[in-house]
Amino acid sequence: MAFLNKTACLFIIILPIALLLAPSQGYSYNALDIFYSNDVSGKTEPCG
Amino acid sequence: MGGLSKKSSLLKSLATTADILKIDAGTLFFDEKLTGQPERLTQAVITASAMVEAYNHMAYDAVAIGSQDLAAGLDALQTLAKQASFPFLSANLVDRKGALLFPAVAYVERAGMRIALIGLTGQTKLTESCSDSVKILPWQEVLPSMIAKIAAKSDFVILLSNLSASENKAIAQEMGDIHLLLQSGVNKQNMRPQIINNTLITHAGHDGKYQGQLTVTWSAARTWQQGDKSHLDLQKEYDRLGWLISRVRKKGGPQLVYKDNEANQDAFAQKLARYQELEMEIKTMAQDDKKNTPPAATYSNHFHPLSPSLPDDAVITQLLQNARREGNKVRRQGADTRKLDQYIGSDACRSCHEPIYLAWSQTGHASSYQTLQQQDQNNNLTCVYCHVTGLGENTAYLATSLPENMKAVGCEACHGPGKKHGAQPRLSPLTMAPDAKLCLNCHNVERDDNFDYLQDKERVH
Repeated sequence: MAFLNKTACLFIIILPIALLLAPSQGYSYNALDIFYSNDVSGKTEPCG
Repeated sequence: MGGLSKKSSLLKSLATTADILKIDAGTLFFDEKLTGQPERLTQAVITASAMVEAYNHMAYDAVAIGSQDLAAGLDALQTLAKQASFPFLSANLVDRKGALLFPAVAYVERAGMRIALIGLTGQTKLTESCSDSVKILPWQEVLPSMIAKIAAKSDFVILLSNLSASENKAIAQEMGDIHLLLQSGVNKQNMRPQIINNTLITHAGHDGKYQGQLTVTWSAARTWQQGDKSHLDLQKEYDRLGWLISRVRKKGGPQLVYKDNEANQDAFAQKLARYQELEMEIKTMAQDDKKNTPPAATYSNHFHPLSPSLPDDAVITQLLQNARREGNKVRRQGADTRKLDQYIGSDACRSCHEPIYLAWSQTGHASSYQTLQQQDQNNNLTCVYCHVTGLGENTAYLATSLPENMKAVGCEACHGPGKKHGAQPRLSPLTMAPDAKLCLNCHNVERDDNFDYLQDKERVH
């Protein structure tokens, strides 16, 4: 009985924490900076 | 404007957190003219190798393979890929048996997300050296099944596409799970991001003159927050005006395009003023967006010009210098001895046209070759023909055998070869009358952002 109570207590405590930590639809990740380029076409520097 | 050492120092200054991603959507190594100019190939591969080292130094995460990147052949591209500390990606570049030649996808962990990066190579005519060993599959054959698998394993999916703009649009409309599509090989101008279906599409301008920076706050809902209509309308107007203005500038500027039509010149000035006004307005809106707490997946975008005032990264400057020296050696070994025998050099013009000669000798045209020499670029075949007399894109490789008196943009660069005229001045007039078209061969938007034909032609002599 005591074991069941302990399990139930743990479950009651852990479940909301787990739910809080799980990414929900409204969860936003950290900001990510994407640096991008294209068609550099071998241009390493201006001619002069 | 532009340059890898400027790019590197800019990236260092902008990368203030660890949550950054550095990617390139393709056509990194070779330009579209290389296939028709085999004399440039060895030098271009040496430069490409230095570029890989530079991108290693900048800690790039991935680059896509553009069809033009195969211009030096598959073996050369595979050698470059081995040298790189980042993957070359292509999901549709396969051997004759249909096996992938490069990784299709790479995963990185940033900003608490698992990000999938996919590369797609454009469908173009392959060079002879590749056509027997390589096939480029249509995106419809590879992408749908791949995206289904990738979407389950990642939070944010980025496609680096070398396909045409219409194909990219079709991909965005059909594939819901590509969240960002970065284009290459599409348009020379910067493209402000636009959302199609649930895919954000953008690209930076060609030739490495601009560095795109997209700041994304992604959400587990995996959908972009659509901007309000007024914001989008402003961006549309801004893009349209930008396109019009760049077209006029490409053709030599408003004074040349609208010649005697003052009303059209005024209308152009108004468009330019409106364009600048819109730029400020959009910038302010983006800053306001940033200040507000983003409720869902949002983004802000900025194109950083790689202006000459940016500091250089010493490591990359050294890398490029070494590559130039190595390229120069190859060029000297392969020098052609053909004579440009219809040219006589500007000094020969002096005896009859001394005042013009003296005025010219004070101009940038007279010292154009020295300018290249100072930069150690006088053997760069993509540069040299615009800094000497008598050469064009296809004959640039003759630069090493050019006599000293042709190493400037001299009289004959604009007026044509002078041998016959020199021998019989009255009977043989000069063959060319310089016009805007001639000047724009070199002073085009790619090389000279500020060229204005009517204004600048007064400075020639």
